[in-house]
Amino acid sequence: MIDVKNVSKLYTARGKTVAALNDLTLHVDRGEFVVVRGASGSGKTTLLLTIGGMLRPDRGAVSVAGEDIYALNSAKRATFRAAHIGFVFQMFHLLPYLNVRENVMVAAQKDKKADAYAILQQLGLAERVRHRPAALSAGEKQRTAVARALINQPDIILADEPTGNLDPDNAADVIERLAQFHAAGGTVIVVTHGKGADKYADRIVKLEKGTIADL
Amino acid sequence: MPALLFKEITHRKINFLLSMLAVVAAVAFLVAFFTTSQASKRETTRLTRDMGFNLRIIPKATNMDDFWNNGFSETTMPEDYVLRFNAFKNFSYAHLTATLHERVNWRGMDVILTGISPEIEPSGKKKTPMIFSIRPGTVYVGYEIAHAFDLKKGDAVDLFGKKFIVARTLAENGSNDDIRIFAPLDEVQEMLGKNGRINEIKALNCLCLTDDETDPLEILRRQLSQVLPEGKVVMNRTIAVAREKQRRMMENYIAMLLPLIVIISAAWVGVLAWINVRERRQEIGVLRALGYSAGKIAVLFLGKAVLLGLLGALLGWVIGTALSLFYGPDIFKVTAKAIKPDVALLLWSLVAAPLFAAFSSFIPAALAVAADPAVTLREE
Ligand SMILES: Nc1ncnc2c1ncn2[C@@H]1O[C@H](COP(=O)(O)OP(=O)(O)O)[C@@H](O)[C@H]1O
Ligand SMILES: [Mg+2]
Repeated sequence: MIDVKNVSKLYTARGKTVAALNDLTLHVDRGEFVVVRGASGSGKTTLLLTIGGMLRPDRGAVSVAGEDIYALNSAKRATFRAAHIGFVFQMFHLLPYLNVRENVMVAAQKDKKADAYAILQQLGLAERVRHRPAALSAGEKQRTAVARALINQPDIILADEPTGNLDPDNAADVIERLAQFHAAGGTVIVVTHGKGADKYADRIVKLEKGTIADL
Repeated sequence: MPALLFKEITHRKINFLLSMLAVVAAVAFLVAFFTTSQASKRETTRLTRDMGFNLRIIPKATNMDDFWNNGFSETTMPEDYVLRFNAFKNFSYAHLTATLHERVNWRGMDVILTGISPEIEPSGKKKTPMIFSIRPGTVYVGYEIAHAFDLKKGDAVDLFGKKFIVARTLAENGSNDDIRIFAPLDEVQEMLGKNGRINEIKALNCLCLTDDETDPLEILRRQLSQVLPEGKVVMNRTIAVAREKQRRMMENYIAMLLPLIVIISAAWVGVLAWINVRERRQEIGVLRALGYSAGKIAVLFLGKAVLLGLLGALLGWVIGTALSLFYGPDIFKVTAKAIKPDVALLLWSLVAAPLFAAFSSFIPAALAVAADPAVTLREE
């Protein structure tokens, strides 16, 4: 499903070059649930953005669902992303001026039959569809973000510390939602420090200085 | 996508309203300027007429001492001289009227009786009549006469045994028009026994002076010698020229101001668009992550600019037109009715303002598109 081959991503700041990803190779099968751990600055976010087609690596190749995504032009890659990948971020990143339903629909692709209401209902947000993010609790915000990630029935969900800003109950709830997606056949890569996801994980990967470390 | 646009605008109203202010101000200013400039041109012409016709074509044989002493020529010429102008195209003066003046004693008062013909336009020119045309059987009386005999509109007066109705009493003019009675030319000719004779053709310079250097009188004299070698031309130019020059100066001044206003409002719109883009960096990153291409992001920002331009154009046109209609008549008293909403200007604004706003927002929009979504998504 996901093939990351010898990928490096270099950043130069104040004359010093840092390899956020350093010759990293990772293969994830369809339907796998992968937990990614690592110290701050070890390259976790960089890895997810690279897999999600948001960040072109300096070396190496990334193929997702059989597509060499960085061989696509930027517009095609955007379309590919919309069709195959759902993102969940630590900071939720909802649009402040759209209500819950609109925040989900803003991601909806025309050709897919998107039913925001059904998904929101499943996530316990039926009463919140008309509310703006400002009126939501952190847990509700993140569930809205999960709904948005699910709206196009993606193959893969990439979640970058989705529980980082949540209390334990809400954190467990969000992990539970990712597990449900996984149970239905979806592929999940989640960066998380908590242990909550471990029981669902097919595999736990640890990053260290931009490469996979042995556990 | 349109929903996204509208909701973002209502969410960040202040930014949008401030941008719109700039577009509205620029459009309103331009619209007001163009709406009134037509009126200003007419006004100049009208005022010139009100000051008296500024060209006087008199028989060549006129003794100029007498002419200036009497205020008109003692010599007469055939009325059909005026018709000769009809054959002559591309005249630089217009609104020709044949007149006959004679000093007469009326009710014991020395007055000037002036017969005045309806206007004759040089052929090929279509213009609205500018001069009052006196209906048969009526007269206009000058201020001093009206005052002396307490005449009012609608009064009946007797002139050389013929009955006339006072159609108008004229306001004080400060010239010998104040002791003048205007009547239709043919009736005056008959009263004075000078059928078919006139002693002056009055004309209004059309003020199409192409530049400040060429003396219009030169051109007029040259043209006249071709059309009417039996006549000569006298011109009262002081006030007309001064006014025309003033109008030109005003126009030049505003023409200088226009680019300045456009540049300032472009910068204003650009800065606000840039602030908007900065505020929305994360949003742009998220939209990219959700599968929005760079092109769609560009459309989002430029679409907003186009909308801004359309609304600004509409509002600016309304305000500019309203200002012209409201203050214009005070400034251009005589031709107030000539100030009308100009729909062509609205159409122009609706095309130009969105282009202008999109152009002003172009750099910020390009920045939005170029912004690395990975960087903004990483920001926490
Ligand atoms: N835009 C950038 N410019 C310079 N350095 C960066 C940039 N983005 C990330 N880095 C560096 O890359 C490394 C990996 O970052 P990141 O993937 O965000 O780590 P993690 O998510 O594991 O905390 C860090 O050392 C970080 O400082
Ligand atoms: Mg990170």
